[in-house]
Amino acid sequence: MVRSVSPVPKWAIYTTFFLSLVGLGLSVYLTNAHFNGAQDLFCSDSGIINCTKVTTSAQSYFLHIPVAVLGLCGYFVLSVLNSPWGWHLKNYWVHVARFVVVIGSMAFVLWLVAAELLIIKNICLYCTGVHVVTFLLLIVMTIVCPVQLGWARSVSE
Amino acid sequence: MAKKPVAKQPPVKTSNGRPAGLFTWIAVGLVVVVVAVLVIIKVTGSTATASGSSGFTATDPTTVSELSSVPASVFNTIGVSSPVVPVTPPQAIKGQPELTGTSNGKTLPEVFYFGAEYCPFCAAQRWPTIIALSRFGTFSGLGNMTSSSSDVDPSTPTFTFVKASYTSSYLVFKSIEFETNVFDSATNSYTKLQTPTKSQLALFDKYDTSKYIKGISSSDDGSIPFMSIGNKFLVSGASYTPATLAGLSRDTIAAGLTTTSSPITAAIISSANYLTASFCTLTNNLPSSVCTSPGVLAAKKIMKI
Repeated sequence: MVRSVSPVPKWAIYTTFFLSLVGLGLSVYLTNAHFNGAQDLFCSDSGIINCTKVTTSAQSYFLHIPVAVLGLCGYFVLSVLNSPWGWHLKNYWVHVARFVVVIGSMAFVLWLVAAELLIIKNICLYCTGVHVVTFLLLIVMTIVCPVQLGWARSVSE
Repeated sequence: MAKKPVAKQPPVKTSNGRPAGLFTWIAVGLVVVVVAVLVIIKVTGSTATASGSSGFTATDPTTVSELSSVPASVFNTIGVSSPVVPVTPPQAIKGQPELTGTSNGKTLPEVFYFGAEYCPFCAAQRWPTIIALSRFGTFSGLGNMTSSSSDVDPSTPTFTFVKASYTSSYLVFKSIEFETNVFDSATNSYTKLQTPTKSQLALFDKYDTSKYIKGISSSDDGSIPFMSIGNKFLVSGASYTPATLAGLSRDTIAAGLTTTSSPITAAIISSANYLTASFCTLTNNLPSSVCTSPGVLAAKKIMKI
């Protein structure tokens, strides 16, 4: 069965592409810091904000893979999927994948926030930046994806 | 004047009657609720005092922060210069099997500490140990402690590792607080607190001896504190005299850790730089910003590593 996708407003295409690039940039910075010394991060190291503590903690690895690398891979995929080219692909499942990746990313972000607040007891500003970008992407996606995928149609259409 | 009728826009709805923004509201609502719950747990949890063994008092977050956030400038300014209080670096040993532990299923070099709460030398040694390890990871569950009030250097302010846990992607830290600071006249010794495993006891019995520790006699075998730093470096006894901390409160010492001119800070930070240098040999000099910092390089130069 061939499923079709509905068009997506231009503002959503440009917004998600921009957010993905911001997330990709932050992930590149965090990955570089992970391999070249977390204390190179321009970040406060007093009080609850301490990037080094977070990025060198045991929770900075997930299944033996650095979380920074996972973020980099995730945002590389999202940058491709959320590019104007990606949004105009005809394949239905590509668009389902985009929605699933963002929901999965948000779930992972919630785990990382829990780890920062309850286990490491410090917050990393750059990581928080990635978390906020992911949350904003989730908002935009939940507005446009259900309609695009035919799970919700507006009456006016 | 009759009002011009305004065409009302019907609310956007799905074909089955649900609002089109339902997905958004559910997603945002879930995220906000989860984050709010986490923040509430964090706020209420941080004010609670850990309890369990009698007399345990959790170290307040301010002091923990002062220990774990010593500015790089302090480490680098002091280096290993402690002109008033002599500081002894860890002693290198060679040809021994590497001591490792596991963290999250990952094998990492291990730092092992064996001490006791009554012991004034352990009291002194915990300060640089916590500070140095905090450059590689995070402590939680530290408790306030003072050494025995009836031993030498009585009531030296310090911490206890009895409920501490340490997370790091570079090192594993294991500790044993063998006895409390409560003297039991019936047994003529301090009450027992933690029991080492067979392998920990074997490690202690083997390496905390004059065979491996230079400059001590066999009568000093089994001295505490004892530290094995991956079986590549050993510490037996305090790296500086506990008398340095006499008459000071824990808060005063912690708050003074940014004052490079203080002889107390100089002793603690010099010792921390020595320990950091030895830890760096286990971590392949990672994180590089710590292991190549001027303070640590100064320690490496003295230690010839």
